[in-house]
Amino acid sequence: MNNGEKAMAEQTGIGITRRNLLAATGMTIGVAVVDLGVSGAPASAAPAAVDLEVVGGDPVAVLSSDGSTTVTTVPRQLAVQVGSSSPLPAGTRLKVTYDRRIYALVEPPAVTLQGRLLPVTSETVSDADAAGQDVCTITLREAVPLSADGSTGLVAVVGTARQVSYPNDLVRRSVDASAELPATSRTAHARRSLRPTAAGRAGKGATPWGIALDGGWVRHSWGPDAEFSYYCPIQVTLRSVGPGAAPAQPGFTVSVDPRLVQELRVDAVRLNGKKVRTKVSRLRAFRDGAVYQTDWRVLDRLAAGDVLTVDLKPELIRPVGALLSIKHPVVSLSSLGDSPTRRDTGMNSLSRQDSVYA
Amino acid sequence: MDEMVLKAQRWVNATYGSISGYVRCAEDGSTGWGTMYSLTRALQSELGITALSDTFGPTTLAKLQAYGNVGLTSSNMRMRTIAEAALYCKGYSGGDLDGTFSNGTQAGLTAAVGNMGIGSGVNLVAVEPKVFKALLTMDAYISVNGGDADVLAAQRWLNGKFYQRANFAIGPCDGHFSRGVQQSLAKALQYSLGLGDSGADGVIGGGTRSAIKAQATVSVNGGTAIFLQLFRAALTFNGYPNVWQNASTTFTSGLASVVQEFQEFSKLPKTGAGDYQTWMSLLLSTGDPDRTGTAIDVMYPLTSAKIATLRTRGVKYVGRYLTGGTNKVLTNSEIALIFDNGMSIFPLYQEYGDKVTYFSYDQGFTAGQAAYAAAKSFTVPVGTTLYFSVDFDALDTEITSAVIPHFQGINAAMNDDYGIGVYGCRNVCIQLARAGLTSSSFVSGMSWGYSGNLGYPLPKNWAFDQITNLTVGSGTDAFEIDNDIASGADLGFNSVSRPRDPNDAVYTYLIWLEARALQWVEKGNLSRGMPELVAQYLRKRHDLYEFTGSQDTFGYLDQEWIDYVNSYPGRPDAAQLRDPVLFRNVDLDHFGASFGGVMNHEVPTPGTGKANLGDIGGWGGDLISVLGSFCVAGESATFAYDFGKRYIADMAASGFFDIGDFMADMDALVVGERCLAKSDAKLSDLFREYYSDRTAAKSRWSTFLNTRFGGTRSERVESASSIFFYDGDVMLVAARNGLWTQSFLNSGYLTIGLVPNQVKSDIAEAFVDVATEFAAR
Repeated sequence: MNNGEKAMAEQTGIGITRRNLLAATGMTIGVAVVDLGVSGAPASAAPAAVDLEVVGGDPVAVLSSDGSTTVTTVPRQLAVQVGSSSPLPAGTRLKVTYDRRIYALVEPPAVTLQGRLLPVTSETVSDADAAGQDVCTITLREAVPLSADGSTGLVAVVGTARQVSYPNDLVRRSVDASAELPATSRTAHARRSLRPTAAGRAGKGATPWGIALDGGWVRHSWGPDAEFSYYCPIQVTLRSVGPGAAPAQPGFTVSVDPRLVQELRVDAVRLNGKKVRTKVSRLRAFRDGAVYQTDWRVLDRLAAGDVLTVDLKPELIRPVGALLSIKHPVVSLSSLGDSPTRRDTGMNSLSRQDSVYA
Repeated sequence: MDEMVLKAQRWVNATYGSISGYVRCAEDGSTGWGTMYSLTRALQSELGITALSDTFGPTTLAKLQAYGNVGLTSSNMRMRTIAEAALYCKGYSGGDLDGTFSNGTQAGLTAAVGNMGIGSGVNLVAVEPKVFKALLTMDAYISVNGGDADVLAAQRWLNGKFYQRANFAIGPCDGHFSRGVQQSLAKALQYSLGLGDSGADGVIGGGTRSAIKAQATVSVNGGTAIFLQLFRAALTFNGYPNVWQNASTTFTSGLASVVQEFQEFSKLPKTGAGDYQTWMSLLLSTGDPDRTGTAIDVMYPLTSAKIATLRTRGVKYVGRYLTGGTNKVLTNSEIALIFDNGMSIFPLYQEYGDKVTYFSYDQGFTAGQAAYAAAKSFTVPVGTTLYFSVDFDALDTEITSAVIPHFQGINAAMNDDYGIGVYGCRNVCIQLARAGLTSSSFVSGMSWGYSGNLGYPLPKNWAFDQITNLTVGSGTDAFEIDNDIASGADLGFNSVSRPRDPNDAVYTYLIWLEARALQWVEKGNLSRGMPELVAQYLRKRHDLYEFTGSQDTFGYLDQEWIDYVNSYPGRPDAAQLRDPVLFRNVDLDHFGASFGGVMNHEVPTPGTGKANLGDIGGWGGDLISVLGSFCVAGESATFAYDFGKRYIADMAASGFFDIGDFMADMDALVVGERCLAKSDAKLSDLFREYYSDRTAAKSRWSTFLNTRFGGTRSERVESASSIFFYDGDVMLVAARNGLWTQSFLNSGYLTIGLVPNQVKSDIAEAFVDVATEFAAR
């Protein structure tokens, strides 16, 4: 029994530990801890009801792989609006339980009232017994009065769903987020699951798969003393990160400045370092005054671990002088379909912004 | 796929697709550069910019600042929607993506600016211009890919402290040191040094350096609070944990210990203070560029004069190339020269390696094999580290896709005999070490502006750090070096197991000339092969073989080629070529002339009694000189044979056909025949073949005799005599008479034809017998 558990045992007056208590009450760990941390005593008058509304909670998909691949959704923002018909006194605490593997905290958490930051203190505690679970407790340092519409209108912004990407994108046994306002002298206890209300894509899928994009550039210079420069893609590499095979033939799109690049052709294709014959075909080419864009399709599926390298041969144009604007070179993955088990490698597009053109 | 990102993409394409200059983004629900650029162009369009561009530059920012914040109370709903779309693309809520800036959008914005470190002072219901610009980058404002918590905290502190300064852009807050973070740190330092908005450009130039020296020193004895905070940030960014301490303004003894650790690692004086040199090493890959390193690397061969210059600089380690292209090649004589001057060598390998398409597994394997073979040929000790070059500003994606496979190939080829190092920017060195593919790094820190150097710490396994390019020495002995700091982790090698060859320096000299000849041919000068060009230089270098008819005899001289060589830097020391059997030197100038004769005139077939200008250019001219000298000496005709025997191939170097001249003529013919038979033959290889082995050296004599004069004594005498008697070649007759007229009119014979035939025959016999005796030794 640690010190906290000893203190808890003293509070409950029985020799019961925190974990025993949790088991006995059947509550979730996070919520139980929160409840026992509340010190406010009930008022004699009926406390005002508190409404906790999810804010910015549109669903974001999270992949997990607990035996089979599952796609679940979580709210984008870890944020709640606290609606109460009674003012909130200083010392009011809001506890938000979340999975730290999924959410990045706003540090310190921001509590706003009509666009104004309120002074708060906060503490975040990790629960070693629950994988990934953190509890952030926010305490108001000043009272929140009712606004003209008779509510508090307070918004607490605690975090944002990470754009988790390969290889950290599979979250095992994720913790559901929830928010809780323990009872105060004026307000009733309130708790709210922060699961998205909007329907997200959820379900079981096949083996996860993903494609990571890499590439290389060649410097193209022009003007007196080569004072202007641009980088044109000359190599595109698609890595199938697995563990599953890509379900479709992947593709990529190359966008370049049409005043600097006349044409792009495939010079060579290598699969896992070995030259192969025509594995890539051009689907489309589009040119206007702002962009020259080519779409390419790989003619085979990539197995897990496959590395496909496409060497490009650009035909470059030398302008006379400076340019007023630039279309930065972009290489991006395409044709990956809408498979729910596609892993976000975080390497979906490449660009360079170090052109010197004006 | 993110449904809201997809919605944002559809909206921006639908709204701006018909605008001239707008570039549509892919509608795939995945945030990428294309989407950010489309949103940027959309914003520019709303701001009235007609030349739409992917760059969110000063014009866009100025127009946006003139417009004001975009949010709850701004009038342009489309700009508000662009802001909401940008929030979604950065992973934050953008509400309903309709410009209403609802609670969802405000929550997303609050989270975003909080993650940027500017939440406490910024508008939470409208997007400020700099925040808008930040939202349209691909920077992250939360920890990604294992970002460091202290780095993240320092990044946010920098943003919070400085983002309202005019030139300070909101930097990434992802827990990683990077180019953008380095720029933010540099600008923050400049602002703190009082350089003002116009002076804060992120470049650590002379003004900034002076200001650092004058103002920024921090230590346990004091210092300004802001500099201590920035110093803590700099240490944190360079990978030193637990020094951020929430931007503490106390310089503790613990911090001093960390500073000493950094100084020791970076080979700086261990002052424990944040002094100028320490600041510079934290800020730039060059560190203080005025430091003098104990190592250098150089792309031209070192000569005795150059190495004397290096000794005065205190150089201990010399980086030289194992193979060579046209300039760089290391030779055995240079190795000896370096060792003799108490220095060690760290071997480098680079054939190309200056662009990404060079790098692949197969190319790496080939490079590994070539470096291995070269190291073995020099008998470089096992265990020495060979450094392979990545000589371009490789980005992360290029390292992953090409450089790492290349080094996997190198590893596969190296047989565990040698350590594998890399020459490259910091990021390349770090990533290859992390991948377990290199054990040592030679950092190209001099290229401080490289993306792979800005924002990366000195690699843990650094051995050499190239910080400046200098010209040292003076006058004609001035030469370029790269000034390298040595960590002491790699001592190079200072011995080889191969015995020294006394002719190593000659081979070096020839190899260098051959490299120049290759360049000359590649410039389109195709009329002569490389061996003849090299020989022409030998013939011309001391101007000993220019006279009337010399061009006809030795071949027409390419004076532009001679000028090219003379103007080229780094010519190795000239050296003597010593016969390993006779221990006498070959006259290389003479060889150069004679070789030209062989290459420009077909060697007559033995037994035909013919001779030609090629013979005059070689042994024949010298034999005529012996005849003339005999006549001038006035001795009785009966002593002609003895005279010839005494002075032909005279070991005493008597002057007119001594052993050095004879061997020059002999080698011209022997080596010349080899070059005529094989177009890509090299003089350096052929001389090494004949002069590094005594048996091979002896064989030249019989080869010479058999090739030009035949197998029997009578055949040989007849062939040798032809230089005096053959009249079937007009040019030969003219040259023979000209030579006589020019040198031997005082012999008593107005023409060579008047010399008694017996005397000529005796001289020819003496020549044959002398050569035959040498062949039999």
